[in-house]
This record gives sequence, C-alpha cells and structure tokens, in this order.
Amino acid sequence: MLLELQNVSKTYHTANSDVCALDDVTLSIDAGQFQAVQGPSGCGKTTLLLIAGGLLAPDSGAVLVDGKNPFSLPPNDRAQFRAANIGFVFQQFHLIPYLGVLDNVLAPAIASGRPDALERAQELIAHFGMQDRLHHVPAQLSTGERQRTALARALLNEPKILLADEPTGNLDHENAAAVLGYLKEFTAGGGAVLLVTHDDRAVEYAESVTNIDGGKIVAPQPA
Amino acid sequence: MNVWRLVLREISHRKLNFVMGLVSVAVAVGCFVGARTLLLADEIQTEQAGKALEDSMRKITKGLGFNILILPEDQDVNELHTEGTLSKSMPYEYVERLANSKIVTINHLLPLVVRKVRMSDIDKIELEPAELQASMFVIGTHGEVPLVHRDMKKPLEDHVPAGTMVVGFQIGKRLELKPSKKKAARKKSDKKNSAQGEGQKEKPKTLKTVNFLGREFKITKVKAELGNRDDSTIWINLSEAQEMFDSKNLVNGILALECNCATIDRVAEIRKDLEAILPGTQVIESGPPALARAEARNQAKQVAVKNLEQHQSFAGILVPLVVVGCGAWIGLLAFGNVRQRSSEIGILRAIGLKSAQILLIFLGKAIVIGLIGAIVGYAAGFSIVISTLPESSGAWSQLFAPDLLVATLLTAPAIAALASWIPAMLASRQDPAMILQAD
Repeated sequence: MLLELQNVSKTYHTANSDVCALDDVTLSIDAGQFQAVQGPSGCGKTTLLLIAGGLLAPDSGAVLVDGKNPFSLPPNDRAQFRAANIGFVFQQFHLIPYLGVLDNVLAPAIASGRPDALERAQELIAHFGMQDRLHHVPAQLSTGERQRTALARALLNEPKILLADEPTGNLDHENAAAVLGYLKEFTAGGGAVLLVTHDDRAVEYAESVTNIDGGKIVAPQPA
Repeated sequence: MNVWRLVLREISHRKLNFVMGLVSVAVAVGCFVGARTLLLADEIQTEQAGKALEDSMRKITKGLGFNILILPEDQDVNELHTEGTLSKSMPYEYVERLANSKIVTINHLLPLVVRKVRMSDIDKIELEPAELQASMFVIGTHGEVPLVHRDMKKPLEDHVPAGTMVVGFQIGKRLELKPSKKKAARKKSDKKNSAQGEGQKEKPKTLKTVNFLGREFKITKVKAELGNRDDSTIWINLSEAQEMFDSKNLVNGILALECNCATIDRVAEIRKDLEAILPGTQVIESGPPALARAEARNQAKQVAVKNLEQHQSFAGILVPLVVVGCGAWIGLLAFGNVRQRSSEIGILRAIGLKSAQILLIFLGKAIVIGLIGAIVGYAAGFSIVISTLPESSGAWSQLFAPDLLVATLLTAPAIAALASWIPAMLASRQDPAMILQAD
C-alpha cells in the first residue's frame, strides 16, 4: 500500500468546545489507485488530507506512506520525505504570487534540489499546454491555468501520492474535466491519488469513493 | 530554483516594503558614516589647526617679545637672583627720560621700588613661631608710564592707587582671601570704565584692610597662583613705597614689558639703544618667555581637543539611537512581511521546505536590504558630509576609509538580519496545516 491510515482520530480543542474532525478513520490506497473522499463541508475531509500528507499529526492511529510513518521522522526529515513522496493540489491553488509559471512549478526543487528540475518543469508545463505562459504570474492566468500550474508543481518531484483538496472547486466544467483527466493520467503512471471533494463530477473519475460525515466513514461505495 | 532567486523575486514584487527597509538601513548607515567622516575631518582639521596655531603662536609670541629689567650700573645682579631684591637705586627721572625718548624696542615701562620684608610686617598675618622670619617681597609701582612718542597701548600691569595693596596668592592665602576672578572682573570693570570715561574709574572693592609697616592699606586684589616669587609679593603704590623705604625720587629698576627686536641678539640691541639714553644703567632679561608660549599653545590645544570630544560624544549618542530606531523599523517591516506571506509559507512548507529554508528566505531578504542599504547609505552619508565640509578639512581621498566601507558592508546586513530575526523565526515555526486550513 502506498498510503495507509489506520484508526486515525483527530480532535480540535478550542476555548469553548472540542470538535472531533476525524473519528477512528481507516483508509488505504494502493499504487495506481484513484480514491475520492466525499462529504459535506466541515466533515473532516481537509483534516484527513493534511494528516495523510504528514502536515498534521493525528491524536491517535497510524499513518503510513509507502510503509513509513512520516510522524516518526524529525521535522526536517519529514519535510524532505514529503518533498520526495507527496504532491499537493488545493482549491485555492496556493501559487506564489510573485513567481511566473515556470518558477512556481520549480518551487519544490528548492526542497528537493533535483538537478534536472528545469527540464522536468518545462516538460510538465508543455504537457499541460502552458508553454506560452512560462513567465506569467498567477494574476495573469485564468483559474484553469492556475490549477494546471499547481498540478505541474505538485508533479515536479515525481511524487508517489497526489493529495488533492477540492481541485475542481473553482473551475468550470471544461477545466475541471481537464484537471481530473490529468489526475487519472497520474494514476495510470503508477501514482496514487487521494481526492477530497463534494463535487459529484470528480467522483466519476475515482475508482473508489469514501463518504465521511461528522469525522466518520459512513459507507464506502464502489464508483 | 533556489532560496536567493525566491528572495530577489519577492523583493522585485513588493517594492514598497523593500524600499522602506532600504531607506531605513541607508539612513542608519548614512548617519554612522557621516558622523565618522565628520569626526575624521574634525580630527584632520584640529591637527592642521593645531599645527597652524603652534606656528602662529611661535611667531606671535616671538613678535610679542620679552621682558627686560633696567638696573643701576652698580647693582649686583646676583643679589636679584639669590635674594630676589635690589639694593641700588637710580633717579626716577630715568623713567621720564626713557618715556620721552624715541626708543622703539621697548613697549611698556614699569618703574619699581623693590624690598624684601617680613610677612609679620602685615598685622593680620598670623605666623607659627617657626615662620616668624618668613619673608616676602614688596614692590612699589604706580602702573605703566606712557611712552610719549608712541600710541598709548593697553597696559599689561594695572595701576595700584595710593592706600591700596595687591597681594600674591600665598599672601592672600595667609590672609584667608581667595584669588580674584580675573577675566570677569576685568571685563566688567573695562565696560564700566568705558561708559564712565577714563577719568572716572570704578573704585575697586576692598577685600580686607591691613596695617603694613605702620600704614593702613586696603587689599583690592589677590593674584592667582603663578608658582613663582610673585605668589609671595605685595604691590603698593610707588610713591608710598618711596616714602616708606626712604627712596624719594628713586627707583630700584625699570621693568620694560614686551620688548620688540628685529635681530636675534635682542638684549644686545636694547642695550645699544639704552646706552645713548640712559648711560650708567645695565639691562638684563627678565622671566622665561618660553613658559608663556608653551602655556598659550597648551591652552589652544586643550580647546581643540575639547571641541573634538564634544563632537565625539554627540555622535556617540546620535548614531546608536538612529541604528536602534532603524533596526526596530526593519523588524516591524519584516514582521508585516511575514504576516503578508503566511499563505506562501504554508505552501512552501507543504511542498517540503525545511524551517531553516523558510528562515533563510526572510533573513536573506534582510541581508539584501542591509547590503544595498549599506552601499546607498555609505555613498549618501559620505557625499553629504564631503559637500558640506570646507576644503581645509582634507581631500575626500584622505577622508575615505576603506576599512569603514568594509565594516559597513559587513555590519549593516548583520544588523538588518538581527532585526529581522524574530519575525523570521516566527515564520519558520508557523504550522503549515493551520495556514492551509485557514485558507
């Protein structure tokens, strides 16, 4: 298994109350698998994704990425592990506003120090049909172009797992289809995708769908 | 792609933040470099002025001449050197003859009657049994006699009116009197005299009344400590001294102050001039002029050094204040920058950047600001000071200090980085999960 979450729980403690975001969630994704997690807003989807990506430690349970628990690593090693194995795509794109498309795609190379980063970035940009937008900053791009740039960035270090948080939330039908197509393409190459969404269109591309509500898996459904 | 490229891209994107930081560093560096250059110029100027002053003091004091004492031919000079007194006399008419002559090598004439007396001759001086034989000098003088064929010069010695007495420092001390304040008293008196006219001179204040050899005298002045025999001398009016010491129409000597001579052998020149006017007299040099010159030079040097010290202490307060203020401002700018870039920090952490790399992104920016600010500030501070200095302060090549430039280029980025340290630390410790969830 490329990604395993075993009995993961997470509760946020606030001054007024405790909010249980995940309650005993178990999930696994193998290489070449496209898994969607669906549920209403605030059901714990993003928390699940952050835990799976090694960014947020669970209160209990285990997380294994390619057989390793990222939370057992020291912070710097965990960052390095994340850079090498996990790619992120967000609804808000999170592109760096002062960098052009090429530099944004190259940003993960700061962490990985990948020697062929430039060639790989140009290859990805060309693949996503943005070779004429190399030096355009995010403000000069359409939302579809921004998400394709974010996707290219996520793929720069050739991660094993792609974690996508509502990647189609801000896109029109055509662009959403293109992005989901690229994710599907990634799994075809042996990667694993965990997509959290409440977009029914996205579910059509997934091989399996997990429904979450109130932090609990309610009923796994075949796609 | 590396951290420095990211830093430079961010700088070119957020120009205002960069410019504000840059101006702050430039102001701090400019103040520091300006102050240092100004002090260096001050030092050069002081040194140059000191040399010029020393040279001119040498010339001036040489030009001012020296003092001579005209004595009766039969006076044993050894008596003056060993006993401090003069036993031979010459007619007072000699003084008048000299004053009426056309002599140019002598400036001020001061006829004297000199005696050595006991301190106990003044009634209010109380002496220990062992000091009963202690002696002092009494000089009778009526002030300067004007040279008829010369313009009236400002007197170097004050007139001592009849019935009054001026005492030296040691005598004053015995009488429990403090030295009179010379400058203030004299200036005040001069002002009043010029207002009242020469005929109506201000009456000097009586400090104490004493009885000296059966006569009553009002002490009007105590001289400052000089460290020579003047400290143990009293001055009274010449006529009174002549009466008291049975020397009617006689004087023991004529002191000529500030004599000018064109030749090196100045005493010989005066002797030659006086031979024709006052035959039967002898001339000796009185008092070491080198001492006066050295004192004048020392005083001038002290004033210059004091000025320099004042500038140094001013710069010593101003520069640290500006540096601290600018450092705080850079810190605030960095803090604002961190808040503005929180989403960026979140994604950079998510894609695998270590906290040290995040720290370097913010410190790197501070270092770039510090480096460019140092260059701008150095150029500005140096040029502004150079443009305001007089030419005598030294050429720019003299004031340009390469070690200061190097120190500035090293220190300014270090201080800027230090000022940004806390915001950079906060950035590097931000939890990416929290940021990404918030977005």
